[in-house]
Amino acid sequence: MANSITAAPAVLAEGVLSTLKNKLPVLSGISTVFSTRPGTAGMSIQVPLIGVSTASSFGASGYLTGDDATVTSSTISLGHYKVSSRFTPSNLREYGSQFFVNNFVNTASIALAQKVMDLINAQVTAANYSVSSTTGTNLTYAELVTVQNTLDDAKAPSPRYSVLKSSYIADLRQDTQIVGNNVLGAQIIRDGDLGIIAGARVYQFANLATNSENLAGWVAGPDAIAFATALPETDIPGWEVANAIDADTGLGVQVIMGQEQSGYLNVTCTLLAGCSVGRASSLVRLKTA
Amino acid sequence: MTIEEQLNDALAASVTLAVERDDLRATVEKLTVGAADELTAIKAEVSAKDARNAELTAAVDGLAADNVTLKALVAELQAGKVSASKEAAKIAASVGVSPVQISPADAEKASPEAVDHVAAFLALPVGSVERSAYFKAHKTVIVQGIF
Repeated sequence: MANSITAAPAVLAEGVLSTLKNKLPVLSGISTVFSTRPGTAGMSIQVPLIGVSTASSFGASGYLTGDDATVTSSTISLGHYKVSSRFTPSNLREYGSQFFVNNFVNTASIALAQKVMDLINAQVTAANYSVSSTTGTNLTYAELVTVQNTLDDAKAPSPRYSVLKSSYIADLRQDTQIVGNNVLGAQIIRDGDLGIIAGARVYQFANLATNSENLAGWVAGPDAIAFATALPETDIPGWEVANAIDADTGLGVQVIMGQEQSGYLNVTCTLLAGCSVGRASSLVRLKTA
Repeated sequence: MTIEEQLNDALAASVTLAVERDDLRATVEKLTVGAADELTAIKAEVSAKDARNAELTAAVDGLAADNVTLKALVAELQAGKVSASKEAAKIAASVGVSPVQISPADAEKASPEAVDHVAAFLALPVGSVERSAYFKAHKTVIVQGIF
């Protein structure tokens, strides 16, 4: 049995990744590049934006013309983010590996998920996305349909998504036009999952920042925001380093672990991540005032 | 007894005998007819049995022929049969694996407790579906095995 602590970073990284992936379903709706290339803070990654193309008439130039003018890219400068926990050797002996892993996996995945959502949230400002809808204290289905129409007019591509603060989610769960629907209503009453409303998959963000602009949520197409991650290049003598990479998306995290001079066992989960504005007209901000 | 009386008795006896004769004749005729009918029925039954017998004989002959064919087929298959271990050795040789003396399938299977799940997990390539799936399937044991 390889009961060496050198195996711990790989196990922790895999645990953090599987939990983190479940906490960030919104990433499936936006333009992303998850690179496994090692890098450092400031590393640039170009993210192609998911857009729409138009077919043109075949002419004298044959096929040598581009019809994908709407497919552009956004360059992102990555930041380096980390979550560190310190355990004493007696902690480990007393509580065992199960406590050690569960404690760290939950702490790290929650913190990293929050950081990723904060990065995305910070982009949603009037300076970056000028179109907004003042939906007030409470959000209704009719207001989401109006926003849907705005995005339709702007030719924002699908699949779209909406990120809403918790009270807006609660408003939709009580909206009689939604819960009164025979098909949608029963499911929402049972498990509270709103699914897709007015053409956009609904995600809740409990810690949504207002950005000092009364921001309460947003509805967007996949080309509105570009997001990228990469794995840090870590080489600390005597410390164990392990990566975990999701086979489906390429999202990766790194866990490093080593004994500090003080005797503490330092366990750190880290990743490079960044976010930037994509196609500005593909996002509508929802404001309380 | 007078001659007349004796004649009357003889006549009476003659009549009685004639009646008995007629009864006997009728009985004999009746028996003859019944026997003929019975004989006809028996003949028909024998005839039907003969037909069935011929039918079964033909079927048995057919089965015997099939039996011969199947025996020939079995002999042919046995002649071309390759044992599973020989075939496994051939496959192993074709992919460059050194043949082993004892087939792993024949060896005593390792108990679940003896499997080093941590080592098995670490051996899988980072970023592979198999690694994630193995972690999910054996998470508790892997976590317990790290120290």
